[in-house]
Amino acid sequence: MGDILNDNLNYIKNRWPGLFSKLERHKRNVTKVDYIERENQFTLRVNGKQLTSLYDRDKEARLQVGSLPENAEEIAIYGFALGDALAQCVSKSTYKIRQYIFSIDTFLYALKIINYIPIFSDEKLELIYADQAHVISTPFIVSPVCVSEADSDCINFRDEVQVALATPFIRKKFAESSEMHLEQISLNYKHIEMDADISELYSTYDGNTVVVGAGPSLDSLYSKIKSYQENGSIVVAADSAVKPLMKQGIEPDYIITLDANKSIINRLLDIELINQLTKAKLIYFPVSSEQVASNWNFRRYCAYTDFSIYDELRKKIMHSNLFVSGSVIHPAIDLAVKLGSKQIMLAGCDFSFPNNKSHADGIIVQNNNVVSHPSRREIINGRSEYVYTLPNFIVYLRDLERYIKLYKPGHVNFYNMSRDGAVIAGVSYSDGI
Amino acid sequence: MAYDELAKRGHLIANHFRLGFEADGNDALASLIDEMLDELQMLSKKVGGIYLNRILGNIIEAQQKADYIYIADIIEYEIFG
Repeated sequence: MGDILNDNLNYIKNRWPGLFSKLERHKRNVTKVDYIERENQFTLRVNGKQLTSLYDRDKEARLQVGSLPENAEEIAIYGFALGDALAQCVSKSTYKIRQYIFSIDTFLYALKIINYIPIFSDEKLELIYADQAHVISTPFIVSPVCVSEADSDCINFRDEVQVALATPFIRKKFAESSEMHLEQISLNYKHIEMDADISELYSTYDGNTVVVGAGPSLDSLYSKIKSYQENGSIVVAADSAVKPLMKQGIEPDYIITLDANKSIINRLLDIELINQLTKAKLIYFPVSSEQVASNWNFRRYCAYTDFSIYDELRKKIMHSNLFVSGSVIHPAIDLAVKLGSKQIMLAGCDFSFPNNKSHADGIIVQNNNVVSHPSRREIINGRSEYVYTLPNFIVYLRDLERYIKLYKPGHVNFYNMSRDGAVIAGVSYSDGI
Repeated sequence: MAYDELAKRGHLIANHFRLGFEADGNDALASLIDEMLDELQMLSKKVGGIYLNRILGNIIEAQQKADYIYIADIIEYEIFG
C-alpha cells in the first residue's frame, strides 16, 4: 500500500509541485475516512457518509459523466472521490479536465489504495486543490460527499458549488409559489397605485443605521440597539424582528415585509402588534401579504425587485427596486445603503443557528431541529467556531457578500454587532471599532 | 401507484443524490416515502415486509446524517433493484 501511495505522490510531485506541497503541509486526519466493502466492490466512508456507490461505482460515474455536454472544450470535476468519474472522462473524451480536490485526507486515502498514474499522466488533466478556487466553471460534475466534507480551506468554494447545485431547485420552488405571489399583487394593487415610491427615502440620511434581523444573536443585542437609537441611529427591522424589538421597548423607524405567506406573516406582524406602533414606516413589495399594508396606520412605501414577476406591473405603475435574494435582510440592508447611511450595523443577521437556535427568543416561527436536519451544513462564526446552517442560508449569505462587495469601505462601512453568527465577508465586527 | 411508477421515481431520486442535487432528492424522497407507506402491502410482497421496514428505517436514519449516496444505493439496489 505504501508503494502505491509513494508512486502516486512522486508523480504528483513532479507534475504538480504546488499541489504536492499542499498535500505535504496538510494537517492529517482532520477528516475521518473509513474503508468499506461489499462483495467485490469497495468505497470509503467520509465523516460517516458513503463516498460513492457500494454496488456499482462505474455506473454511478457514467451517470455523472453522461450529464456533461459532449461538445464541451473544458470541464470541471468538483471532488475526486475515488477518481471513477475522472477515469471515464480521461478515457473517453478530448476536453480539458480540471479536477478539484476538496478533502486532502480523502484524496490521500484514495492515493493509498489505487494506482492513479495512468490517469494522472493524461495531458488534458489539471489537478487542483480547491482552496484557491473562487468562480464556478461550467460544465461541471460533482462528487457530492467530497464537496460537503471539504477541508476548512475550501469551505467558501464548497458553498459556491452547493449554491450552483441548489439554484435550479430554488428557482423551481419560487416559480411554484408564483400563484400565491400573483394573488398578493392583485390584492395589493390599490396600495401600489396609491403609496409612495421607496426612492423618496433615498439619500435622506447620512448617519448610522442598525439593520435588525431575527437571528438568535439578537437576544444579546437589545440594550446596544436601544442605545444606538437613543443616540440618533435609525433602526430598520425585518418583519420577523419587530415583535421581540417592541417587547424590549424598541420601535423600528422602518419595517420591511416581504413574505407572501399569510399564515406566517400573521404570526410575525399581527394586527395587535401593528396597533402598538406609534411611528414606524412600512416598506412592502407587491408580493408581500396584503393584510400588513391594509392594517398599517402610518406611511407606506412600495418597492419592487428586479424579478420578472413585476414586469407587467412595472408597465402600469413605476416603483424603484430594492435588492432581494431570498431573505428580507437583503432589502433591509439595501434600504439602509440607499438612505445614505455611512455606517451600517447588523444585528441578528446570523445566516446560521448559533446555539442550535433558528431565531431570537419571542419569535413564534422557530425551527430548532437543525442538529438532526438532513440538509444541515457547518459554517464558521466570528469566533472561528463551526455553527450549523442550512443551504438556503448559505445562498442568502453569499448573495449578500456579493452585494456588499459593490460598496467600497469608506463609502459605506458594514459592521456585525455579534460574533455568534456566520462570518460575512466584507463586514467587520463592531467590537473592533 | 404501480410498482413500476414507484421504481421509476426511486431511481430518479437516487440519480439526484448521485449528481449532488440534494434539495431535489430530499424534496422528492419525502413524498416517495409517503407513497411507499401507502403501498406497503404491495411493496412488502415484492421486497419482503420485515426487510422493507428495516430499510425504510435505514433511509430515515441516513437522511438525518445526510448520507445521501447510501440512500441512493438503498433505493436503487435494495428496494427497486
